[in-house]
Amino acid sequence: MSALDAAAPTFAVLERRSRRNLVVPVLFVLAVVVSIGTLGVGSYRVYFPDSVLALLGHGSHDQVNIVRTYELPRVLLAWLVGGGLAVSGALVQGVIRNPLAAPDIIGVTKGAGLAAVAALLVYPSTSDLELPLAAFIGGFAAILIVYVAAYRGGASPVRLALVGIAVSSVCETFIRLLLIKHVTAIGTALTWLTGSLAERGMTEVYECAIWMGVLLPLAYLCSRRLDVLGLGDDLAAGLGERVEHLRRILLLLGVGIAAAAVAIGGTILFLSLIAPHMARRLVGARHSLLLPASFLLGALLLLVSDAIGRGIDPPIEIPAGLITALIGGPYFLYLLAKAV
Amino acid sequence: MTSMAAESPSTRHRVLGRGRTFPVAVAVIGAIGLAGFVWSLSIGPEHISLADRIHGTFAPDQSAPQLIVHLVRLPRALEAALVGAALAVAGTVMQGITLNPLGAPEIMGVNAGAALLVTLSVTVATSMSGESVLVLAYAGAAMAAVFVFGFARLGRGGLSPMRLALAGVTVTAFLFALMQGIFILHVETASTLMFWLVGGVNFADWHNIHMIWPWLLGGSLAAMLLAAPLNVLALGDDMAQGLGQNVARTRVIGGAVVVVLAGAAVGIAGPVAFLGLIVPHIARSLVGVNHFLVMPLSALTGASLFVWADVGSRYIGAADSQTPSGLVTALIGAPIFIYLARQQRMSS
Amino acid sequence: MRLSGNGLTLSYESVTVATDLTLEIPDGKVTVLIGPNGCGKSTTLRALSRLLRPKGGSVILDGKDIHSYSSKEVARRLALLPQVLLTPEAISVRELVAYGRHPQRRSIAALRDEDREAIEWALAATGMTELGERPVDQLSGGQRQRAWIALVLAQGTDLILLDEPTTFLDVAYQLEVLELLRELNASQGKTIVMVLHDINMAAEYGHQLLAMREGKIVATGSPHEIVTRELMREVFGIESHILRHPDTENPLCVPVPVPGVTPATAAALA
Repeated sequence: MSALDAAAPTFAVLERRSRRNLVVPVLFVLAVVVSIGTLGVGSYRVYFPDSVLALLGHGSHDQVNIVRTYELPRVLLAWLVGGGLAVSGALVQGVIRNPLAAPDIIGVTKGAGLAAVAALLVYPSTSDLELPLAAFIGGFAAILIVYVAAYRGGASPVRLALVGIAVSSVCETFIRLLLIKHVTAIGTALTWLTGSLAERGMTEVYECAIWMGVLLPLAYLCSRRLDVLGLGDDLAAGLGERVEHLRRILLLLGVGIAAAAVAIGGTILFLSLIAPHMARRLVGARHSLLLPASFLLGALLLLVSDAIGRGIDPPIEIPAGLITALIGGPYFLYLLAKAV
Repeated sequence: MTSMAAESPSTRHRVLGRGRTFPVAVAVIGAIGLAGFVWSLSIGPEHISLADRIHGTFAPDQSAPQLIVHLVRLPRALEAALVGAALAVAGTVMQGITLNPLGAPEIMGVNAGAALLVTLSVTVATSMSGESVLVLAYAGAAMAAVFVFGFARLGRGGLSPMRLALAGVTVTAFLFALMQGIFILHVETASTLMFWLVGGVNFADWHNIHMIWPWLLGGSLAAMLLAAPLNVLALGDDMAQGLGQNVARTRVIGGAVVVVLAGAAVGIAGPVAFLGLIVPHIARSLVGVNHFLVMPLSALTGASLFVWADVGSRYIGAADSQTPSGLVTALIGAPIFIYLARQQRMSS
Repeated sequence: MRLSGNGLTLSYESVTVATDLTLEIPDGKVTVLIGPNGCGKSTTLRALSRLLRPKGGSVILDGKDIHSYSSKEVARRLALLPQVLLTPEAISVRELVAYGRHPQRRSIAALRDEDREAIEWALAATGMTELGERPVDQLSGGQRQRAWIALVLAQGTDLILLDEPTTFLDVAYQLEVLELLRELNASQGKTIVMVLHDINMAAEYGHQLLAMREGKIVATGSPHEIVTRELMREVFGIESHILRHPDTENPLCVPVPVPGVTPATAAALA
């Protein structure tokens, strides 16, 4: 091997690696900038820098009130929900070992959706605090069914995905059935099902922040174990991991994060699928970088989607989930067209 | 060469051996289907005697019971049978041309494509006739199918079942998300459309049946003509080409058959879950892999299954409201699909 | 002797693959498992590395049942290279090899000096130092297999188990890999257990051969004791000439086609 031969790729790799380390800080700055920029978008528009001043308590009473009680929670939730969904997507993709997988695939999203719709429609007295709880329980019940049905001396990634598809489909059918039987609340339910950050306040922010504050660091602690799992079940076992146990823990973490996000934001589609995918292109497959990058990209995508949704034709609110689907669907189709 | 020589006798043996079960399977499933059909005619607020049911089916007079059978119950049972058969045959063809056990129209987004355009037409262009809605359903199915085949052919050896399923499910999710968006903007029609989205033959009438049967007949005949090419294609693209088959043409024709059958079925009965996926598997487990046998048996099994699903749907839920029959296929289909998934020895 | 199996019964779900296996892995030697497809050799290797819990009998590692150790503890004593390996996308050789230190590291702690030393040593021992920054998916087949072996070496164990490390490789790469393993055994005293498909490679590189057939160990011994006409007939169901390697004197098995003879009739003819 000549020196030139060896040197050229080495240089390329070094360059790529230093670029990768820059991705997370750059994304972070970008997300902060977008947060500030979209703070005042909506039916009552407060422009930058007035929006930031209002946040700090300067400006008219109305401005301060609107920014603090309506705008700030949305921006914070975009971080928590968008980032959380993206991280849970990265976890599930790692466990299923397939970049096309997502919490939507293994039944969590639809399970949470079914439980929440049932709560909304069958028990209209459900309070804003009980709804997330219902979604959370639904998501977990779904993954439990999927895991048990897929278990056969271990839950292979393929079986998890296939069984998840079946269970999701049944949940979807029941959701539609509920919507048929309860026509009056169909609008509310549909908006929730599409996923939206509208009409959330600081209570939801705190609620979501507690979950994410616990689960996201735990996920980060597992990053190298996720890498090792990606080397195959046998090698991971040879490296001292109890593979099935690890899979269960990671799945539980991913589901917990997804359920917490869905509980607050509704079943926002495609975010958990495409954000980790984009992140992987930027920082590679190592989860110590992939998880933070996914979080930031998910936050960024939801910030932008939510801002578009409320800014495009105020006072009409287009649910953020519809925008993420409109962004995510074509992106996914593009991936397929490139023969993933 | 040697492997060919070693392979063909055993394959032939299996096909022949299974072939003998074909008449039995047809007889048994046909009888089950017929029983469901007759039962289906008996269900309703009015009690109608068996004699009236038979008269109402073949030669109705003007008496009320016979008219009820002829105008309400018969079309419903008939539509269930037609839709079930159409989706099952579409599934068989789709699995044949994608060489993939999960390549069914509902997994691959074909049903969702049809559903999206129907949804659009019903909400946006409210004055459209049934015929033009049906044409739109074909267009939607074709759109999705073209896209699916666009990438199903890509990659060496095609996509693995798992990848195909994930891709199809995601495409389906995308299309349904678009529909949800339409619903939010047109809440007033959402409830009716929701019913249709679960799928069912609850509102069947003769008009629908007259509208689709020529399509279904043509599509099914074309599917039977595809049996021989599909048998060869089952050996893999390279082998099929080596044996002189125009693989691309088989796929295009097969795709067109799927679009016609699935589009027509979805157009009148909605995107019924799981039928196209599981029925071909049931048929294959009974008579082996020969498409000459699988195709008709799938049609019969699909018809029987959906007739029974429709019967079952009338015993679920409150007496004063209708339960879409698609609910029952979802409830039957999901466990069978899970069973199939558990049998798969696929690696990731 | 650090690793042995005692009266093992091995099965997947309800299918029993092997019964009453008793085997000993001599320290500091290269042991090779041979046998026809489906004879249970890979399954045996999985049991020896704690991947599969035996239905009966026990695997003894350092005087104790292997299942009485935690999986991390086993990973610090014994390394396994499975047959099917998933290469993560866009990862460098050094990053890959670093995963070999996983059993010794805490969740998010940075690499310690001893980890770094082990990684560099593993890269050097496999001749991969120069290629440390190369993405794994750009390596040749032989280089890639060497990178995987480096990962296993970085684990720092004296016991190394490999499941068909030469499958999917061209013959030149097969030799490259087996020479590397021989070298590691000779210079580092590593105990190596591997499954090989090729009888002649097994005879060339193994000190002890274990011949398996239908879930049983048919014979154990040196290459000269195992690669004989009788055993080849019994284990693989083939007629053969046994020659001597011109350089190393090791046995070479040259199969002789006998038209129309199946393994069943071969015994009758004998």
